[in-house]
Amino acid sequence: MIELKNLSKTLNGERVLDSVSLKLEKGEIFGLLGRNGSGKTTILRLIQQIILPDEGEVLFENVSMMEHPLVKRKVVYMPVQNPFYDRYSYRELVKILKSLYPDFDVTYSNELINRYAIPETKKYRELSTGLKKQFSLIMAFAIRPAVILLDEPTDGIDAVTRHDLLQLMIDEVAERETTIFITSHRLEDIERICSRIGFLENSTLTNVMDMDSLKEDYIKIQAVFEEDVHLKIRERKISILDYSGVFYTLLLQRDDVESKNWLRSLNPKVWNQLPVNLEEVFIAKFGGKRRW
Amino acid sequence: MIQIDPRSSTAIYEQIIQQMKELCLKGVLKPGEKLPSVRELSTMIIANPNTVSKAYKELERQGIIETLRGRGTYVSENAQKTLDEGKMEMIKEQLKPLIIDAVYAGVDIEIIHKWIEEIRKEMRGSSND
Repeated sequence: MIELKNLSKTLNGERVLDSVSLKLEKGEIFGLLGRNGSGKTTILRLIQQIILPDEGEVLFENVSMMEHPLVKRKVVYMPVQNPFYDRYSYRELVKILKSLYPDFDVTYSNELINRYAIPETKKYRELSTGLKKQFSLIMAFAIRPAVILLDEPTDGIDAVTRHDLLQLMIDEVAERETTIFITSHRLEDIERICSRIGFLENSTLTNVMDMDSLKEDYIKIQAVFEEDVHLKIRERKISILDYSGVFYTLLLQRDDVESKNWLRSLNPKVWNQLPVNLEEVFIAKFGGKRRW
Repeated sequence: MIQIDPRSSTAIYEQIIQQMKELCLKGVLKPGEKLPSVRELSTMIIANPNTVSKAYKELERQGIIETLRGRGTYVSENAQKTLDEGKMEMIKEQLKPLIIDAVYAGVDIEIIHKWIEEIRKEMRGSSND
């Protein structure tokens, strides 16, 4: 459906992305994870050609998006803030979008605007944060795109609105097989709706994997050591999720037999092997770089 | 009907499978009953449609549900038989925390055996009435 090929980008002298490649299939929900400022938004902006890559290209159904700008009608980007919408009400915006996107589905957008009781004549900038997100998402789906790029769509809104938004996304994917590329810091949302995830780290895309295999690929070890082994564990670069006194919670890749055997050789008094969740993998991956 | 906990360490498709089985065991879902479609269930519980579909396929493989082309997905007529093993496992799991509690409370395993025997006698007694 959409393919990123060796995308690289330098912004203000800083290499933000270094040869990022990724292929998204039809009907897939892909979650992009990373710390603040890791370049997630830059990737979305590159896909939508708002900024152009220094190297590499973006293909939509094997067609270069740069050479064929019209395919952009099928790829919609929903940014965190949408200043372009600010001055318009729903009614005005529908007219504008309909002229830009021939497939714009007014029946669909009217129905949802009604369902969520979004005032039709109020200007976008006068709406609350939650309503703005809902509004933007409805607009994005009403364009009837093949690919939707969502930048933190569920961050900063209340639980009821979030529930509605997620439901809207799921419905869209189930009904029309839209491809969704989503960034979020709400890991439980990512865990619920994504079929695949990837981590953006040091300008590159790492650990692209199926959501289900995350829980199969990693294990959590709870162990109690009699001796002080803290430094030794750190030296072995084993992720420490948590520790208090002699009680350690560690994260290992399931197939990392070497580390497991090494830990075992320290004669732990207690040894429990448990499954993990996404938040734990995220903390293990990025938390280690915190300066204490 | 089904509650997904995304923070749980159990994969979401596993959670769906477990809970579907549980609903069948408890008799909430009866053989021949129609299940929500993949789209309906994924919207209901907010989970990726592929995940729900994967769970349905696995339940189908285990003979607990069956899909009739163009008519939807149903609880299989012979689901009960397949579930008995699952039920045993479930009971064992339920027993576990109780026994751990008992041991920590200082109850001897022998006493627990005695209690089991007592309860069994009670049950026999009442079934004789």
